[in-house]
Order: sequence, then structure tokens, then C-alpha cells
Amino acid sequence: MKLETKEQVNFSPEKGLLIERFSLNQRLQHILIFVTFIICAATGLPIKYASATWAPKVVSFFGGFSTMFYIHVISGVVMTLTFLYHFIYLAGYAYLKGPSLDFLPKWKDILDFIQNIKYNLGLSDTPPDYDRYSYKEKFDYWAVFWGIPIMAGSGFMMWYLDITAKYIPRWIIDCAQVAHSDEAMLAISAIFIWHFYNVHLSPDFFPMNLVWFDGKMSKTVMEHEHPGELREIMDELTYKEELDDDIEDPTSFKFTKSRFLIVIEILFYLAVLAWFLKKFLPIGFM
Amino acid sequence: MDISKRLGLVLLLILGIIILMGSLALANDKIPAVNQSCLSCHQREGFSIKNNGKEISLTVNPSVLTESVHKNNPCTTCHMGINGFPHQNVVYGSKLSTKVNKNCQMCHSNVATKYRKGSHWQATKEGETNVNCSNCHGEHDIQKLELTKHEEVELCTNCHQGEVLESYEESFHGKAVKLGSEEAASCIDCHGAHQVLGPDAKNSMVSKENVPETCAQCHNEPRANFAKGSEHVAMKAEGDGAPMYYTLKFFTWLTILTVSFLVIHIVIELVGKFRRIDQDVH
Repeated sequence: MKLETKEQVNFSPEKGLLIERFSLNQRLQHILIFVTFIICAATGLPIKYASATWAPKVVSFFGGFSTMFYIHVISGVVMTLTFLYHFIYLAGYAYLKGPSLDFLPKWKDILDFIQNIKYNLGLSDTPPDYDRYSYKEKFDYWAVFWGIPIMAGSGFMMWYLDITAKYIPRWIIDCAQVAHSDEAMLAISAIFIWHFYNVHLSPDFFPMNLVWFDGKMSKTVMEHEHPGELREIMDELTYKEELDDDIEDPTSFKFTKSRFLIVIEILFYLAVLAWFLKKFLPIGFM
Repeated sequence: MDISKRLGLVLLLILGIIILMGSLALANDKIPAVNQSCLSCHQREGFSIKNNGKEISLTVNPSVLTESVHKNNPCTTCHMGINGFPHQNVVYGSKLSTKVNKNCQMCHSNVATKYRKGSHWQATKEGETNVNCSNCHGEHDIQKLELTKHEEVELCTNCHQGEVLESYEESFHGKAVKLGSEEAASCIDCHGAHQVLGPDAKNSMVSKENVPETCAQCHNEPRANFAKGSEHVAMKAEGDGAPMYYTLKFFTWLTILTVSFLVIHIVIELVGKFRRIDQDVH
């Protein structure tokens, strides 16, 4: 990351050096995406599992089927608009500050992935040396580029059925319905299993990594999470001497050494996998 | 306003009150006198007869009658030709409902014409099945049908089960109706109520030619594309459901593989963190 302004590096007497990783604009995009995602999931799952005993309860919570359905489509529209806005944002960013290519996948991501697995299996003593975005973050970012076109595309096909049917035969619209319903499950699983591990349940960040809220990450956390990016920033800083950069962030890695939390989580995720396979393998082999 | 106009208004008001009171008097819960004699026997609890070894109840609950829309009809409107004792030419069960069926049509001639063209009656006439007026509308408790969409579906699915019901429940229409929508289509929105015809009949609402018109009742315009696909299909590798089947397969396996990979990744990281607890690194 190239630092554009001095403001992106802050100093707090408690947490030491703080790097602003996400601008307000980026954070608002993330908030819009996750709020609409949760609403879409909450109002969509009762439709997918309409026969489940909990489905009518959720429907009455939202004030009846029609209301719930409109909340679902409005939320979907807002999510789609946020996604489209992201392209405007990328173009504007490139125009004003020059294009940023940090989010593109690169060969090093695969090497980082292999290194991370080796490190955690005890086959190597060096942790992966992540740059501005780790392969995990890129996975989440690009998953949105797969998910939203499918969800929004199939969603609009069903919502504007009359216009769709002008051009597209019905059996394709039926496939779109299946795709909408099942890609939703993929997205919900990926978010609540994988993304929630990385930002909430990971012992490094438990109960929550607040970078989504204030955009800031302390140098202590950066050393572990984005060492490559931190080196770049520190190299660029001309006023290093003014900063007392020895202060460790005491709020970080509170649970990293918690034997209890780690054991509970290993059991929890194995249970999640077992439950998931029990539910989905029969559909796969149907 | 001159006096004659005022007088006219007063007379109109009095006439209105008389009509109102008259209709209120008619709308009371009294059973018409003509039915009292029938009920003198038929309201007895446990009144029954043996027919072909089967016990058939002959009891009619008067409170059920008074709540029906036919409460002012003499019993013999429907049970025509029953007079004198013992009753002559008595039939039971499906024969009775088919016989009564004809009597319904004497008054309800508008729907009767449609019903006689529909496949319910055609099959009933040929003895293949037995779908008479009473099967959907009830007997002594007959009401004006004001059903929710969900109740409409329940009525049809008393008989129509299996693939047709399962595929409906998987469709958006079925899910929406199940969750209380009054806008999404129930069975009769597409198939009609009285003149129900199979997809092969030319003037059926669900024949290939007529499907676009039928969909356009709700979906704006009769697009030819509405007919390019089927409504009640099974998610199977063969037949009309195949494209949906393979879409389902694709996303299901993508989900299984992705989530398995991600959970294994998480567990590997957690195990690594556990191993490093006593080391000075994260």
C-alpha cells in the first residue's frame, strides 16, 4: 500500500502505532453489504425452507409473507447497488490516486497458502509473509464477485418475470430459481463459517476484529497479519523518529494463547463440518 | 323540498325497514318447518343403517344445518324424491353424492355447465373416480367457499398428492402460499375450479397453447416463453426437470467442496495455534 496522507498513520499512547487500513468509504461499502446480506439471508431462508417449523415464525416476525418478500427484494437491490457502486469507487480511486492492484490474485498468494498450511502443520517454522491483502481476504473479496452476479441476476430474473420471459424460456428461469436458492446456501455457509472465523472466532481476534468499524489496525497486529505491508509503510515513513513505536497494543491477541477457546473451537468446527456433510451429502448423491 | 317528495322518502324508509326486518327474520337460525319432520328422526344420535355390512350414519346435526348457506332449503331440494316412509330408492355413499350432484345443478346451472365439461365430472361419470360437488363444497355444512390460498391447496391435495404436490411445494408459488401469501397462485388459479381439464385437452388452462394466457392472469403479458418448460417436474436427471437437477447438483457440490475445504483450513490453523501455545510466536 502506498500511503497517500500522513493521517493514515496514527499514534495512540495506549495502542502505539495505528495504521488506517480501510477508508470510511470502504467501510461504508462493507457495512452496506453485510447489513443487506444478513437481511437477505433472514428473509430468504424461510422461503427456501418453507416447510420447516421455524419458517412461519420468521415470516410473522417480518409481518407476513408480502412484507417479508419486499424487505428481501429491497435489501437485494441495495446490495446490488452497493456492488455496482464499488466499480464506480474503483474507477474513481484509479482516476484520483492511480489504480490500486493490491487486491488482484497473484502467485505469491498460492505460496502464502502453502506456507500457512505448512506452518500450522509444524512443517515449517516461518509464518507466511502477507502483504496488504492475504489470500484469505482476497478469497472473501472475490467470492462477492462470484456471488452477487449470480444472486442479483437470478433474483432480478424472478422478480421481473414478465420482462425476463420476453427473452428467456421458462426452464432457464426455473434453473435461476434453483441457483438463487443454492448459491445463497454457499454464500451463507462461507460467511458464517469461514469469514466469521477469520474476523470473530479466530483466537487472534476473538470476539471481534474491529477494523471493519474504525478501519485501524495496530502495528502489533500488523506485524502478525500484514508484515509485508507494514515494512513498506515503515520504509516510507519519514518521521519515524517522532513516533514511539515500541508500544505494544495491549488489546490485541487476548485469546491467542487460550487453550480452552482453541479446544472448544476445534470441536465446534468439526461438529459444524459433520452437520454440514450430513445435510448436504444426501442432496449431492441424490 | 315539497311535501310529496318528503312523503316519498318516508315511504321509502319504511319500505327499507320492512325489507331489512324481513331478511333478518329469514336469516334466523330456525329450521324451516318442512325440515322438522325429517329431523324428528334424523337428528337422533346414533341413527344408522347397515348397508353391505357397512354401518352408515343417518344422523344429521341440526346445528350444522343452521350454519350452512342452504339452511332455508327443504331437505328434499337435494334429497329429491324422498317422500313417504319408508323412503324408496335410497342410495348411499358415492352413489348418493352423484345423485345429489345432479340436484345441485338444477339451481347452480352456471357452474354446472363448466363442471360437466371438466375432467372431474368426466371421470366421475365413467366411474373412474368420484369428484362431485360435495367433495369440494361439503354436504350439510355447505358454505360459500371463502378459502385462503393455503386452504385451497389443502382441498385439492386431499386427492392430488405425490409428484404434483411435491413439485408445487418446491415452486415459489407453493412456498409463498405455504407461508401465507394471498397473491401467489394456488392450484385453482392455474387449473380453474369447475372446469378442470388436463394439459392434453385443447381448451384446458394448462395446455401448451393456453399456458401463456393463464400465466398472464398475474404475470402481465402472455409470453410464449411461459410455455417453454413445465410446472410440475421432478428434480431428476431425465425429463423436464433435468436442467434444474444439474443446477442443483452443481451448486450443492460446489458448496460441499468449498465448505469442507474452508473448515479443514480453519481446523488446521486452530491445531497450529494449539501447538504454539507454549511458544513465543502466534
